[in-house]
Amino acid sequence: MIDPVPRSRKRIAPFHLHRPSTVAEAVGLLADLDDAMPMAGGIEVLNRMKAGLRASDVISLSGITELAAVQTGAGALCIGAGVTLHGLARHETIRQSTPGLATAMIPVANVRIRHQATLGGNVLAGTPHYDVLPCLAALDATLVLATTGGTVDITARDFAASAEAMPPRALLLHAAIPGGADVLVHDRSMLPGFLLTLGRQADGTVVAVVAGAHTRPQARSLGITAGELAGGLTPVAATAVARDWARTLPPMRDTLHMSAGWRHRVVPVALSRLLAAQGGGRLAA
Amino acid sequence: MNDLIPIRFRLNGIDRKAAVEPNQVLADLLRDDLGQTDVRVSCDQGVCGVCSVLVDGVPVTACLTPAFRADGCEIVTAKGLASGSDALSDVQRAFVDVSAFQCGFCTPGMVISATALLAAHPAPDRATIVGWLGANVCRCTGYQMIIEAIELAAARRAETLHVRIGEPAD
Repeated sequence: MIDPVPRSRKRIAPFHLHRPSTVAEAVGLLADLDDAMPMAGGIEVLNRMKAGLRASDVISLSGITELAAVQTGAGALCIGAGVTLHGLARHETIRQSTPGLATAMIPVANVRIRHQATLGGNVLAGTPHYDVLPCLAALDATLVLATTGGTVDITARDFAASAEAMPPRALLLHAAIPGGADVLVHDRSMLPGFLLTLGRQADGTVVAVVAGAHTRPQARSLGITAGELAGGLTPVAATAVARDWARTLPPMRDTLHMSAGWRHRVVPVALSRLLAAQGGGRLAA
Repeated sequence: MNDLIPIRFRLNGIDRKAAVEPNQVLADLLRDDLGQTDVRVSCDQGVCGVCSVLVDGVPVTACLTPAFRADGCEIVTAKGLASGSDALSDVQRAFVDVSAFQCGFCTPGMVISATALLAAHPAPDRATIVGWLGANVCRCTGYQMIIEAIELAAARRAETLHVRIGEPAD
């Protein structure tokens, strides 16, 4: 017998829905409403509402076409916050400008989620091991936000370090990736423990990001260039670079999947093997 | 807080109208309000794939899609893939021919995913099939027969194409 009350209406608390069609309208709603939740693809918001999250108002962003734009210009690739993970993986401009980023998105979640989940939702979800923010931090990308006072830029690296870097009631418009930057490796093999991302920044230096080992992704420069990495690091050199990098990290977290102590030991080992493998070296010494 | 939202959409080839609540998801609209029992709900968090439907040709997770987003869309469920009670789609036929199910609970979602897969990749290799099936959970079959069914459907389509353009089928 079918329950007369659908489960979504039992599990998702009622809310007022707003459907703006412009950024200005959405920003105005965020400013005016005290308990408003922006929703793009809906994956995170609905899942969390089913788990008890409440908001008096939900602002659906799916009608704002400019949030789904991908553009190049002024030495940067700008990817709209509403671009789906499928779009990140398949959009021709993204594949040409940052093929490593596009490749990194292919194995994320599953094909249905990738078609719905967006860059903005993935970045703002605050889930430690989600994929997009570590990639953007590794690329030294800038997050461009709209507020009632105008646009505000924050670096993905600053936002990765602290969610407080984002001004309140701001709307993420797009991520701007500097020309020449790209993801070199996005290694998900240690999930759900952690993931590692190596990014080549516009100046050629390499940044490593660990996500999932702390409550926020941690991005640090490795002190080497992409050329040096591609030239091949010996296992000994890779280990030294990885250990130096890991020493700068704060204490790691305990979760059901992996203890803090185990993470502390295995993150630098995984990174050193990743580094050694980049120049065509073997994974093990 | 009961703002009903009027929506219009096409479901399995038939124009439909509905008034949905903001907190209603597509799976509940289709299953509970419209009696579309081939849209099932299991994990209710976008993982298992049993609620999969095609929205404008794209496979989506109906349990995590707001119902109001269906406005103006073409929705196809597993039942809608068949052109009649006796006319299964080629994917459905392939599932029957290799018995790619046991309890059958996951089958509608599997068929939807397989249909979307073959639309995106007409000749998928096994790795592509396995990658797409990561979106659907089956606790009975071990997936082997499902993979074979998709390969069979793809092979039959290729054979049909060869015949159409006058080339040898082999």
